Amino acid sequence: MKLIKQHKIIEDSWIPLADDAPLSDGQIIVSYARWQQDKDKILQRSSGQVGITISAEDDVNSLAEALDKIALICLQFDKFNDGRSFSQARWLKDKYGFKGELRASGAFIQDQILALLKVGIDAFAVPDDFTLETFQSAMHEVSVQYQTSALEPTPLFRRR
Amino acid sequence: MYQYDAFDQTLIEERAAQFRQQTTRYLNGALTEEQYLPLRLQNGLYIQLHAPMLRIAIPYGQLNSEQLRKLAEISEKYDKGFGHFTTRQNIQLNWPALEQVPDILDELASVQMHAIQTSGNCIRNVTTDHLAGVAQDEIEDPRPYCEIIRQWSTLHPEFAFLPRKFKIAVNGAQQDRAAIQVHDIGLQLVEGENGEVGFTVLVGGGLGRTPILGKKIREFLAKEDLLTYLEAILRIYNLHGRRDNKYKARIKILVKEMGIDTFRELVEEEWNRIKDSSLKLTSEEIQRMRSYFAPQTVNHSTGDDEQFKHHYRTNPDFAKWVDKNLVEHKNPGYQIVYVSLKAPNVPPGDVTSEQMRQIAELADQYNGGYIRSTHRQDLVFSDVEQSNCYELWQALEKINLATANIGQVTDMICCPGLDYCALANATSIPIAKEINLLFDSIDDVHDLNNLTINISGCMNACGHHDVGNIGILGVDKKGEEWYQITLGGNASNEASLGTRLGPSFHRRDVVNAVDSILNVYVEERLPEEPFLETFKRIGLDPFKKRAYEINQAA
Repeated sequence: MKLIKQHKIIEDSWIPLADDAPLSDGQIIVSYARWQQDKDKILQRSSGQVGITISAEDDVNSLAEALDKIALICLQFDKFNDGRSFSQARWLKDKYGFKGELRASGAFIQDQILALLKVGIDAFAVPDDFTLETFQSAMHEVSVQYQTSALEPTPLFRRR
Repeated sequence: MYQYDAFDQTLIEERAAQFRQQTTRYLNGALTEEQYLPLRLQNGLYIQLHAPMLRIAIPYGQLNSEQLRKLAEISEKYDKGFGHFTTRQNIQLNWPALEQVPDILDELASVQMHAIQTSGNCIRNVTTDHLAGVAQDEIEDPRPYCEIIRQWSTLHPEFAFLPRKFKIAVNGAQQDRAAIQVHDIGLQLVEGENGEVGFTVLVGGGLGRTPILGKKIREFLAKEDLLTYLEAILRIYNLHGRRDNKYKARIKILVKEMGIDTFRELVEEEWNRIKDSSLKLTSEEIQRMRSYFAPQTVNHSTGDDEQFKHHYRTNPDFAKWVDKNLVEHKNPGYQIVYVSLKAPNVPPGDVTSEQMRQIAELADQYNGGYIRSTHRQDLVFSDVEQSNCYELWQALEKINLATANIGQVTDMICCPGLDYCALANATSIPIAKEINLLFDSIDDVHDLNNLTINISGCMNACGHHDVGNIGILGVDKKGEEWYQITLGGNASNEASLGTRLGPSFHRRDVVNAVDSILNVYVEERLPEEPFLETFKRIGLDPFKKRAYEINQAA
């Protein structure tokens, strides 16, 4: 897997931690279940940031209180056509003002990249054969947007 | 009618190019069947029983003659020379080749048309009253709001993968001609306490496997709040709607399971958060949209045209057509004219390419170049001068589009059924044909006032059988076609879902059963009494008794 962030391919410095692995320092990504169970211990580690992977079923409202202590939220797509992740992203960005990295991972397809950017996703975990060119062309497939989005917060009717 | 500017035009051209690229990737194996499925559905492309089916959007039923000519050309060039108008005011082509669909989309884009979101689990084409802007009982023209909703819902980044399809209808008149109570969201324009106009919002209505009438979620919504409120409903639905079972995924099930009060609380909480965001509509935008739908007529106030009155008195065929297919226009001197797509022995809603061209010609000549489609699968010329009606009638007669049967028994709603559709359990078009044959001459039909027959080939209810006065639903029993009959359904203001008559009928008996039902009605009705009233008065039993006396039911 590789990571595309800010339209560049970058090194992924985060380490996913299995649910049964001991807590370690450093930049770790834990599951939502692990987070709920070990939240205090995770936040009391001596060093390193924490990221959380959430699936489409998880309730993002429950992260609200601790959101300023979370540096990364990874939205896991188990199925590409489960649209809940899109609204989760929207809530994390708009409702809770999440400032950390919002990453998409899993089964999403290139045809969804533009919409994912618009709902506030700023990093994409992609297969190794996925090229930056593909990403860039996916980004520019449709240039007109009627609604509000993370890329253009003003709806078209206010820009006409 | 709304006219695209450079933004709108760019969007549909880019969308067509995007779909071409997606189709190429599918054909060369880069996209799997599963991945391509929602992408093609969001562009109106089904894979049907015999061939792909392409559903082309006619936003809230508004069409101009240039577009209809293009549809004629496309249906000839890429299909078998006809199109099928649907109950959501769209048009379907039943035999295009998959490889050619990108070309069709390019051609559509050249006349400001597309197939965006006519299918798939997304927000579908918004529908409205086909008499919008010309009806006498109108509170306000709903079309500007339809266009506002169309734009907001088009390629909405957050709502392209909803639990299930999502249909919105807007009605602006006192009479509900948009069937808003059986939509996922129904919007009714109303006058508020201080005289300002806004919306009553219904949610969770729908037909299909679990027919439910919509519940009122908000009594009055200011116009400026339209999009923020819709966005709040959609977000709550997207997050909470069921995804474990396709048959329980519509918003009606969520509202039912959660209860309207809890659902309302969640929506209002979200709405309060976003109601003053940049998505709040401006009065400039509302004004801009309204300017596209200015009246096509001037107020003559000259009263009835003498020639019109003369022909009406002297030509009984013309008089029949006037009585059945014409509606009073809000401006005296004009008529609203229905073009019936329900001639006997023609599948309901079908038009040939040649008819499309002729209709376009007549629209140019008599109706300012505009045509509308209705959710009962007919067409409307909205602003015909009374003095032109006789000529128009003669011209429509020549092309088999002047059957005087609007709102009558033979003005049936009917889905494509087993003849075309992969989902269907049973045929529907042949049933419609046989019911037509029940009436030897068109005069028989005129004895039956205000009676609707709706036919669906399966539980998905594309033919809206639950809200037909007589509803017919095809069911499959061990490979045989059987039909369930319901009575008393109604899609208008006093909306109601039909009551099951009893066990279903075999294919060979169903039309006889309809015949029995109609006979009971003719015998029992009071003078001028519509079927629904008779049904309410005498109940199900007399119909049931007769239908099962003659027919052998399962």
